[in-house]
Amino acid sequence: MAELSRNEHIKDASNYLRGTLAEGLAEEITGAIVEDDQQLVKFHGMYLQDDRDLRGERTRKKLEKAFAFMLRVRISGGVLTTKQWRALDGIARVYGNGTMRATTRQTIQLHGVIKSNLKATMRAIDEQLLNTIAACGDVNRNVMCNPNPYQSKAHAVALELTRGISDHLEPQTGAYREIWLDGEKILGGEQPDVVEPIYGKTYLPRKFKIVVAVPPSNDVDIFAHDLGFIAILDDNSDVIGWNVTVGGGMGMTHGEPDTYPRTADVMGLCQTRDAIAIAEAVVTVQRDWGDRTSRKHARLKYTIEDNGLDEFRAEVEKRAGVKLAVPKPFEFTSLGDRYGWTEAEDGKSNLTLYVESGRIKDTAGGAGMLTGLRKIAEIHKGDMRRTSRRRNAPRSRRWSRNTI
Amino acid sequence: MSPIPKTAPFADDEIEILNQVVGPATPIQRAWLAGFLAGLDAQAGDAANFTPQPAAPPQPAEPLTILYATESGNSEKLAGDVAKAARKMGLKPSLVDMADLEIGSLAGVKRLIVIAATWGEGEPPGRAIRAYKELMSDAAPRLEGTQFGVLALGDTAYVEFCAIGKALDERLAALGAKRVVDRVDCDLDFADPAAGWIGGALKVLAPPADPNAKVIAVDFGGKASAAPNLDVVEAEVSETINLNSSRSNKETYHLELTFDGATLPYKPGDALDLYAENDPAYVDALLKAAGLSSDTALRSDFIKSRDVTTLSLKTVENYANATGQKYVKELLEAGEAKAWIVGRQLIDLIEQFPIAIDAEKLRALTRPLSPRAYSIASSRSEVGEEAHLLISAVRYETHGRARKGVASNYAAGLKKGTRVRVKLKPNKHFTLPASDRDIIMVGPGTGVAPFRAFVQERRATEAKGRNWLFFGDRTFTHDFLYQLEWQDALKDGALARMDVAFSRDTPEKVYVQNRIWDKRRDLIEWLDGGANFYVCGDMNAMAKDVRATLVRAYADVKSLSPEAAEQAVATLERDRRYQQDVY
Repeated sequence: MAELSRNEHIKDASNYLRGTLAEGLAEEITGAIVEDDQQLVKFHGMYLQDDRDLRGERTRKKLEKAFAFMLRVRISGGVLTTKQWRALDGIARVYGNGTMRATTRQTIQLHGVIKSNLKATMRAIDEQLLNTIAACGDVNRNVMCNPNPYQSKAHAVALELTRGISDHLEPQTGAYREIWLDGEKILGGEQPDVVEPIYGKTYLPRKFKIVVAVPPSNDVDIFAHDLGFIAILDDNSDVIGWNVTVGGGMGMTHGEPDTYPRTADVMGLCQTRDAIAIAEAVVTVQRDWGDRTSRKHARLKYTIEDNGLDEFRAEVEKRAGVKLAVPKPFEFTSLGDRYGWTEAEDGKSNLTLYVESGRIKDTAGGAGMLTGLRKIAEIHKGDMRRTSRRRNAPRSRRWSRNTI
Repeated sequence: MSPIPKTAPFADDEIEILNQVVGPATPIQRAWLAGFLAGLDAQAGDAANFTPQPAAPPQPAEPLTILYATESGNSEKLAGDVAKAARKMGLKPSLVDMADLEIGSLAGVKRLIVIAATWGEGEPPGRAIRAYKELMSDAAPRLEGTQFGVLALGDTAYVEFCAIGKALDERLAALGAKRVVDRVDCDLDFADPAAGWIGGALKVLAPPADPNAKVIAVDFGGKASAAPNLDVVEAEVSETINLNSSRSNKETYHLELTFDGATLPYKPGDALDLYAENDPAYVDALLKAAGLSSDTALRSDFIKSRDVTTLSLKTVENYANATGQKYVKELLEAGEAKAWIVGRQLIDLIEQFPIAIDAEKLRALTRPLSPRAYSIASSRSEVGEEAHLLISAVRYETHGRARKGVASNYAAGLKKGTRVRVKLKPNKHFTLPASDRDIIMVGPGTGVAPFRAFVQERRATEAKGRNWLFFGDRTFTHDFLYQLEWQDALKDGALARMDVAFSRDTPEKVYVQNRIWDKRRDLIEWLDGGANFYVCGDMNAMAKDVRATLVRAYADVKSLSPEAAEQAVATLERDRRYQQDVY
């Protein structure tokens, strides 16, 4: 049997994502954390980075690299209240580099947070009932939902499912609260099925991405994801079930023929009440069947390719205790965002804004997108929604908001 | 026993004879001989009256107490000069650092010379504060029967020029002592006026000479060869690095100097006096304002050797007197000049109140350019034949004009290979303890310089004592001076602990004193275990707060009253375990 990949050992030894993070944070003289912890910290929603522009001068100036953390805030379905928006804006200004970045997973990234400010930043995020857990790492990432501004009724159901899946698949380890929020330590031996009933101690072999879409809009690019739920609507625009898609992913490694892009298969139809059980079963099958020896061959698409869709479906149905029905037809007619004002079926208007490269910042000359959106968040009474965009599309992201 | 060395200016057989006599001689015989020979020599020019006299038998010399309050070491050095001269005049001097003064011991002192520096905005040197307060309080003894004189050191750039010397002068008189020499207030170029005052004072205080005695003290051996070289020497800038990141709004320069001759024998804690030059652009602007642009000799003189930036009330008065400038006179008469000079320089005076002035008068408005002392940031045990300095470029804007600190900007502009003039400035009040003692160092900003020297020294000498450093600056990422070196020191054990405070990284500013408070339990434990405590850096904004924090820490950790906690810190100071080097 092939050797497990290095990350598997790190996860295994991490005591549910703790590693030596607590000790590393207390180490004031370096802005970095040790290498193994750099892998673990991704599960907590952050990456350690350094300012490349400054690399050349640092050593001569007797300074270590200009380390800082990028934090990715988990925003299920991409919907924020204006209060949450204003808070993130404030956090970016006080602890970050004064910018935010809208990502293709409907999340918001904060950049330039130095280690000594991490805990304060995480507390401020927590105060907004937001978190960063599993925004990166070998776990279910932020669950996306297209911000369909037309069928607002179906969108509400889709958003509910999105949040339900997201909550259900959130890692349960106490490490997050313990490390970042000074939560109480859980003493004694922890049982894998108690701490992480879904993931176990080594989590997933690789990242895992889920989306929920309401046709005819497919701006979330459902066939490029590990797992997807396509809303099936009746003539009243009520949701009557979900087509489940599995095994999509556009990534590949040049020069490695056993890696390739793959569009997802439609595996079957499920009821709304069974959707979360199906999601859990897909995740646990991938947990047990996924390739943990090669990270380049570890996504769900290879598991399905290697085992066959039928066998995979059978295992999912067995674990979920649900029989999938024959998929219903659906039609996607749009992939992109609709910029500008649109009117929904309930008569409310929405404005979709374009954010170049996703960078929400002020210009050197003064106020820009950052301050502009903050002003909107100060007077606006609706919510603020992130859209997404197909993977590998040009690096443009869109911002949508729902006005009254 | 051969006390006369072979190098003595006698023939070999003469040296042998001399040694036969001097070798076994008793101390009294030797003193007699010394006095006799000296007297012989003194009278050699007056052959007519020459009668060999037996020198006076050793008699008890009259005591002279020399009390000094010193911060940068100048008062202390002058006190040493007084003692040396006093000894020659038959006095028995005793030097008393005001830091050690028991004020009760002043009662009964017959002759007292006080040399007092004024520091900052009219304050006593840090170590002298306690005794100064006691002397000013009801606890001071009456001093009838004491003859005294005060020499004051200060800086006319400060409004409260020589305030401490003045206050002591008045206080001693008020306590009943008799002022036998008038006080002299010295500016930065104190050498000549101070020497003059010392000569005059000793003449008054010395006992009348015994007409029959011609004992003249002889300075055997002259200067001890072990004395450090305190002359101005040239050095080459072999490295210059701005340690702040290019994203920082500060510039702090690490300079490495190498010497032509022997490396100055500096010790960790010592400083180097840097002889800076003025910014030529500033001098040109000044000369232009004064209408003296064509005077190249004056320009060169100004750049190299005059303080052409400082503007004191005295300068304004001198300008008014020298030129009769109407509006300056009005400013002075209205009593507004004192406020007007705040944040201004000489160039503002000349530009805003122009009047024809010649080179000589303009020059008379300036003082000699004094060197600026910087704590040495290296230990010879580690860097060998080099000395490192850490200098922060002082830049700010006042009254619509960009201002630059003269010495710091000179240092900032130095290129590799440039030659500079420096002088060793020993600091015996900032020294490492025995190698097995722990030390705690508090050095934010450039205050960390001597601690780099301490840590290097303790690493090189494998000192067993633990070293704990508190450092702070504006931002972690861009202003962490010597970060990689501290990381290494923590790894190799040269530093046991390090705590940092970066004031601009968080919404609420955090300073080293906050970190000291956070770590107070461990800190007091170290101090109880005999650790020394060092503070270097800004006096007003930092050092005072650090001391106050330490007092609070004692009160909190040991459940002491505020008075008892203050006493605990005062005891550290008197035991030389609390040392500071502030500016």
